Amino acid sequence: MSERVAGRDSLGDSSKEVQGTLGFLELEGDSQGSNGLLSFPPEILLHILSYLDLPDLAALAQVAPSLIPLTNDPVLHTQRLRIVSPSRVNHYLFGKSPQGHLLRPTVGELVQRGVIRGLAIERRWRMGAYFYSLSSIIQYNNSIALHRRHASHILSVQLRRRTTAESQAPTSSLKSLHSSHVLPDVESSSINIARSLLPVVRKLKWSIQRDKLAKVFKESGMRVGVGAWLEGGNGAARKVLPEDEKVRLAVCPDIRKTLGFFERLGRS
Amino acid sequence: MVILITSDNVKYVVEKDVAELSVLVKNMLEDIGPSDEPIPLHNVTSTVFNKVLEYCIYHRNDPPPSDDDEGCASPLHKYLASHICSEWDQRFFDVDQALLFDIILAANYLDIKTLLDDACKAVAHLIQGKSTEEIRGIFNIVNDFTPEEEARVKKENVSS
Repeated sequence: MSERVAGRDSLGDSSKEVQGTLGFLELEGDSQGSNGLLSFPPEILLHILSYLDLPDLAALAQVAPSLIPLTNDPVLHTQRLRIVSPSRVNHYLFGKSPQGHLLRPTVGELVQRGVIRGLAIERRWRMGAYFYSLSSIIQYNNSIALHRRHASHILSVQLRRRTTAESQAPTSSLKSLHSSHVLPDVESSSINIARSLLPVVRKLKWSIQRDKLAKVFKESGMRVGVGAWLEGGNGAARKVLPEDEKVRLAVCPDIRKTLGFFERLGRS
Repeated sequence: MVILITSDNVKYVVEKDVAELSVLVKNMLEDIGPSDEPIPLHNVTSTVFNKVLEYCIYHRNDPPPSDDDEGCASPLHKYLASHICSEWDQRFFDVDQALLFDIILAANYLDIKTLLDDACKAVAHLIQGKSTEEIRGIFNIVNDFTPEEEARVKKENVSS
C-alpha cells in the first residue's frame, strides 16, 4: 500500500513539474507586488522573531515601522530571556543561598515582613466569614441578643435597688432613675437648648453652683466671724490661747525681724 | 486514503497518517467521518502543496508534535532541538524566498506545527547576523521611514 502511494506521489511530482515552475514564476511576481515578509500576519512574524536575538531584532526594528511593535513585544522578550539565560531566570526564581535558604521570599515570608497584607482577609473570606455570610449573620444576631440581655440586666438591678430604697414612692424612684441613668443630663435631653450651647450651659451651671457654695460659706463665716471664733470660749475651752510672744512667733515666724526694726526705730 | 484538492484544482491522494499531520485536515476528517469526499484546501496552491507533502512524507514517522507542546515547559530544550536541523531539512528549505513564505502561510493554514517551526527557523536564519540594509535587500522592503523617524529609532536602539 505504501509502495503504491509513494509511486503515486512521485508520479504526481513529475506530472506537475511544469505546473510547478509556472506557479513559481507567478508567485515571484506576487511577492514583488506586495512585500512578502511584511504581509505576514503578526503571529507568524512573532514566530520568526522568536528565533532571533537582540542584535537581529534591533536591525529589524529599523527595517520598517510596522516591525517596531513586534520587536518590542513583551511576550517575545520573556520567551527570549527564558531561552537566552535560563540559568539566570532559574537563579532568580529558585536560587538558594549557601545556607540553603531560598533567595526569593515565599508568600509566607512576605506576609511576615509586612510586604503583603490581606491574606487573613482572603482566608476568612474562603472560610465563609465575610459580611452577609451565614456564620457572620448568626454571630451578629448573637451579639445583639447578648447586648440586649446585658442592658436589661443593668436596668433590672437599678430598678430593684431604687425600689427597695424608696419602696414608698416607686414612681419617684423611676423618675430619678430616668433622669440619672437614661437621661444623665437635663440640658442634653432638653430640646430647648442647642447642642452647640451645651458646654456653655454646663459651665454656667457650674459657676452658679460655685457661687452658691461660696455664699453659704461666707454667710456662715460672717455670722460668727473668724476673730470671734478664735477668741470664743473661756478658760480651757478657749480655742486659741491669749495673745503672747510665743503664740505670735508660732503663728508668724517672720515677725521677729519686723518687730526688731520697729523697736530700733523707737529706741533711736 | 484521503483525497485533497488544492486551490488550482489539482487532486492529491494521500495516505491518512500523512494527511493527518495537518491538524486542519485531521479535524475535518473527524468532522465528516469516513467518506470519499475530496477535501478542498482553498488557500494552498499545488506548487506549495508539493513541498508540504514532501515534508509530511519525510517526517511522517517523527514523534507527534504534541511532544513539542509539552517541551514548551523547557524552552531551552525546544530551542536547542530546533537548531539541530537535519541536512535534508536544510536542502528542503533551500528554495526561493516567495515559495518559502508560501510554505509558511500554508503550514499556518494547514496547522502543521513542525513545518511552521522549521520554515520560520529558515526565515530567521536568513535574517540572522544581517544589517538593516541587508535585510531590506533580502526581503525587497522599501524604506518607508521618514528621516526623523529613522534617526529616532536608531537612537533608541543604541541607547537600549
